[in-house]
Amino acid sequence: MTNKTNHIDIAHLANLAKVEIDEATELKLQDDINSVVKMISKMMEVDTTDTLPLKSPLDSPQRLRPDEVSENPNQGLLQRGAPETKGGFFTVPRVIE
Amino acid sequence: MTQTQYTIKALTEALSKGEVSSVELTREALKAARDDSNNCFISLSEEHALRQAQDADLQIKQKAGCFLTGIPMAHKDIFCTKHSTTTCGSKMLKNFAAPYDATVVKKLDDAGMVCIGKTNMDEFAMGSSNESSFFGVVHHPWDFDYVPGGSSGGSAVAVAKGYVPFATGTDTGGSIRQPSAFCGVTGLKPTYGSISRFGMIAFASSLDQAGPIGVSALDVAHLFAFMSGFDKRDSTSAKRQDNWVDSVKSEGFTAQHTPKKIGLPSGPILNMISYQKEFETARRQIESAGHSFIEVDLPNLEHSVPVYYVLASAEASTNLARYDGVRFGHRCSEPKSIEDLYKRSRGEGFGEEVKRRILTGTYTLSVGYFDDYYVKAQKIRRKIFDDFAATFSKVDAIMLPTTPDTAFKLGSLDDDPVSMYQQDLFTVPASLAGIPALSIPCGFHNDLPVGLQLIGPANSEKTILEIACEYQKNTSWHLTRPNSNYVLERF
Amino acid sequence: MASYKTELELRSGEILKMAWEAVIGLEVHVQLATSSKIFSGASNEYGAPPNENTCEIDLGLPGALPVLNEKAVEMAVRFGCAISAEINEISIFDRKNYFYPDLPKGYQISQFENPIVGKGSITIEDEAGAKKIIGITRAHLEEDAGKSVHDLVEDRTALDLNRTGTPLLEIVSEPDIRSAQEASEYFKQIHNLAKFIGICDGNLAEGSMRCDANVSVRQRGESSLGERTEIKNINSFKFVERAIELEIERQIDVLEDGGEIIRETRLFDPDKDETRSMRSKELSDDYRYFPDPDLLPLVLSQAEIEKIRSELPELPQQRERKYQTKFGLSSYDSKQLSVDRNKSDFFEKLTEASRLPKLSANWVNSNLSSLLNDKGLGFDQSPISPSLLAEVLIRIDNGTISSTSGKTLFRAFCETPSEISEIDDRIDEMGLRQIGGTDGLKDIVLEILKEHPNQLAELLDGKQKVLGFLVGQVMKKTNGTANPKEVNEIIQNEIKKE
Repeated sequence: MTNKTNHIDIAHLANLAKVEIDEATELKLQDDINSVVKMISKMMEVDTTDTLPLKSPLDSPQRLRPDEVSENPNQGLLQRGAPETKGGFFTVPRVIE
Repeated sequence: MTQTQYTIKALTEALSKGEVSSVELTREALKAARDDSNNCFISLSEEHALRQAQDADLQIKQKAGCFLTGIPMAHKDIFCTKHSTTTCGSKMLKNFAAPYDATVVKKLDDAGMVCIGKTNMDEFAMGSSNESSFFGVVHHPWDFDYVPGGSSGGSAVAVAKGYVPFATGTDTGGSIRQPSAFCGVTGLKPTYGSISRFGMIAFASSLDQAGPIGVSALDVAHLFAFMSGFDKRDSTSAKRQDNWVDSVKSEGFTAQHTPKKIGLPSGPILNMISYQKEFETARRQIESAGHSFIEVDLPNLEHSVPVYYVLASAEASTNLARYDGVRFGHRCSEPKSIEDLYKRSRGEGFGEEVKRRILTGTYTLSVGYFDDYYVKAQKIRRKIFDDFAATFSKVDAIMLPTTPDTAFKLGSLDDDPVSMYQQDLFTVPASLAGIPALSIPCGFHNDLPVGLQLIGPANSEKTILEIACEYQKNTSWHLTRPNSNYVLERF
Repeated sequence: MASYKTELELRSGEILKMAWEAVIGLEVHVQLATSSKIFSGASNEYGAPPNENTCEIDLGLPGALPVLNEKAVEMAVRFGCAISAEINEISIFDRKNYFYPDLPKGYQISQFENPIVGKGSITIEDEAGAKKIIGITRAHLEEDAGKSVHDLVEDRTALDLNRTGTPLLEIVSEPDIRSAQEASEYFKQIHNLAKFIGICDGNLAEGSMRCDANVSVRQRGESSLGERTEIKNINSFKFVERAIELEIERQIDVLEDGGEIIRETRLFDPDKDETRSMRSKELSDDYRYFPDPDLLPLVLSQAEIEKIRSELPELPQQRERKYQTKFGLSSYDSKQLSVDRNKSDFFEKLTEASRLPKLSANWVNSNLSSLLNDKGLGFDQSPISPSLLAEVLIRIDNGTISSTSGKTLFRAFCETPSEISEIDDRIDEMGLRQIGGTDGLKDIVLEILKEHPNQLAELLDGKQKVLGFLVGQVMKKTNGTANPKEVNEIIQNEIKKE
């Protein structure tokens, strides 16, 4: 595990997560995340050979809903916090196809 | 006068006797909140609150109210409310006005409660000190230089300072219990699935659970009853098999005394806490009330913190992907491209702790690491779950400290995230297992409150609340308040 | 000489191409025809004004949570049963994480390792008309994304998120397809089947069904696969065929020029008739899939699966076979009758009531089809019921009315339906009852022969051509109610007498 923890590429992660970070923050996060990863790597000591992963503390099946139109959307209310809209559309800088 | 030390029980009696009106209580609460210097609140809703109070007074007059009608309260600013902003302590949502009310908000509105405002919190509920809020740190109710705990710090302080007798909180790895212990109030993290998560801004979906922070275990029992219940809008909402909650809502909660068997973890774990003396005194008091203690073994307890950080960060990293500056929330100025829009909006909108967790989560979920971290953590989560299940075949409840130590000084763990994370050692196990855990004040250490935790199997809120109610009948730590440092005996 | 050389080059090129084999797999996205979205109660109707069919869940607002639509699950299982696939009793919803403006939550809820439908297959006809089985690896449920409109607002991409949360069933084939034509045929089969079992409206123009094609080529005889490219978002049978054709040619050209195929996503541009690399859509290949903690495992009991299976209608290919073997219909007619569920159901009801499969097939495929087509109606909206039409066909068959009168009666019944007990009265009212030998038909025939002595003479001279004319005259005189066969017989008998 330790060899993995040495090579955490913060810039790559920040790109995947789409978060801009400045150089100073990058250095700090590098240290922080290195130590966090070191901490979480202690898990590797635990033997989990025959253990199944637990995805949720609720050990029950998914509940489904009937196929009914139950929402009556109020577009004005839903878009009241939108940074930029035009004619009912949300707008962003053009994504070239 | 402040209404500081009043329990809801006392206030409800006063309201129904006509000794005070909801509007009067609400005005007092609003005034106290306005004058607050601890930075408990992110926003106050005076008009909304007074309207609700007037409605409540009418209901009380018509004898149509319930146990909670007319009582002023505050919501952690993680619950979506139509009438105000919902910021989640983040610049990202500084101006976010939710178009809908969270289920918890609706339920408490329906019960006739009066919401005076939204409380401060760690950004996106990520923190154990309430220092990561975009709206500034919250100060400890007993000592201004100390942290109140987090992430529901604003709620715990608002109750501890007596502005309101109750505030909602959310708990992912201890965010209700730890600030409750630090501030000397009573906080319950219920069974996962018992309170709807709809409209509660997600941090880590498989762990997040809302709960009440109040003065006494008796109040908390009632608050839990009114907050909980099946919600068809939350896929992980569970239907309760018993009718306990319904009976509390209709007839009120009276703690029965039945001797319980309580487990106490063996091994070095209890030596890790600074307030062993206070903890041991509390244990003896509970024992003398007729309960028995046995040693239990929870072998995987020590792995809880790493497991928790892997799971919570991973879930958070994708739960927070929706804050992209496109449909709501912060958008950077003049984005040059969509990529620029994403990166700068998120870079500017999120604080450091949130970024740290997003990147940690992104790392553990990325190709090549998923099985090593995420799946591994899920496997140990099952071991912890199984440890508890095995233990609860022998005992009715488990007692643990809530925190390793008292509140710490503001800024003291700033540069040490790992030490900060270790604060959660005693609270994350119940979160991982999805079982109820209650923190109650159990004394003072170095002049700061400390708490103990009662943990039960799933849906055993009644059991742990009964033990706590009994303890609080025989002690007065939960009524001990700052300012005057006295125990209120008026009610 | 020059043209000869070119031709030679061309032929050698073709021979070279013969040495290559295409390996194709399709991912077909079928929009499920539910009333509400897969995870929210917002309307799933197509064509609403921008962002009017979205609620807080579709928009990914803070605190909103998904709850799965049971109808989408049922439809997925129905499809699985129709392709005889394994239905997984436990399936898991995962988050596929990537940023794109029309993907509101920053992740798509999909199924990754544990899809609802496992291995199955579908039968198509290859170019030679032979049956070929195409394996289906899996089919899984997921949510559709919204739509980006790039040419509406200056410098801006406009987002309409109405499509967000439309339930999709993504059907992934094995790389069993070997040509563009087969791919198109496979897409058509999925389309017909999905429509037939009622899980999709099949409206390609509205994007109800779209596919991605994974294309690679290899030397014939080679067993390992070449590097593949993925052509995204193709929405017509014609385009699937053309896009794959072009891509196969492109890949062969690249390889023959000593180049390498780069694994990439490509776009088919029908206007320029080319496929091109989608460099601009900077999608990450690290989707960080993980089980969605908002959604617990989807568990189906054997009983639930069996119930859906038992309610499945008889499928097109089974019906086609039945029409050929049981009813003796031609393979063309059988296929025509089994593609559309409503048409097929109509035909079966008609045949059951009339006991006249061939006549029923002809009528459904011709008269009824063209009438419905003119009126823009489906077979489930036919103005004439199968039982009433059956009565008409029975009367044509037993000679009560002529075929021509049958059509007249059919048109009348389409305007004003009749009670079955009153059919014969209506026939008489309209004077459509066929005149047979006992009804004085012979007298009319003799009259006509008398009126046309020249033609009769020609006929006696052996000129059979005029027979048609004379029959026609009788038909005219009887307003089409004479039985032409009988008229024919009477005339023949008279000639023999002469």
